[in-house]
Amino acid sequence: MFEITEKTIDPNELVAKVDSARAGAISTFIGVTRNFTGDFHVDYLFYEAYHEMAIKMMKRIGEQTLEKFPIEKIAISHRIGRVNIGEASVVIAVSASHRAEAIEACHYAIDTLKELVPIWKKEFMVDGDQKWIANDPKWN
Amino acid sequence: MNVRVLLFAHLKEIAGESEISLELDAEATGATLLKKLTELYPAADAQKGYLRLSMDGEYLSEDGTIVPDSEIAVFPPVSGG
Repeated sequence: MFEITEKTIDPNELVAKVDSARAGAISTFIGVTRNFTGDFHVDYLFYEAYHEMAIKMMKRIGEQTLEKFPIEKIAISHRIGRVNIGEASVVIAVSASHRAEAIEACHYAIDTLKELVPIWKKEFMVDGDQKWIANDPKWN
Repeated sequence: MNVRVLLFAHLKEIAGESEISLELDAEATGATLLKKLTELYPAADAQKGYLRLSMDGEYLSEDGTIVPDSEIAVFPPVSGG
């Protein structure tokens, strides 16, 4: 399951998608909107995606993660549109026979997603300012 | 050739539209396209290497050749997650 959604993401749904009789571990990563960036008070975030390419890249990350690590299944869901503080912007779930592989694969998947998937986030500050963010700090 | 270019995020706001069309020479490269684009929208001309290109949903380097009738997109560094 690889999806981009405007709706609240339920991590349990992703866990259910990767559940397998062969799995001894399910690792999840949940990216959550926080209310401060340095000293700036964030009101909410807005995410925009290049939908077709983003889905293509998410599927590829899924395939690559399955090739690199001895895991059973992987699911990734990314939110777009307005995301309020404390809500999940991205959820990844990975099942594997053993915990180390599940955790490592989950780590790899989120790092690769942040580098490659064409999705952008804009921070809306409490004071009314707004700013597009880059994951690579050299562009901020 | 005439190329349809999708714009996203910061770049879409600068241009005021999500899609533009550019007239390019045959065999034009990604670098040529970016040059045209930043001439049109000087505010998009940030540091070298800032803007990313894709062709038919795959990243395209500045040396890459633009294929006629492909879907081109230009966007700032990503910030998903």
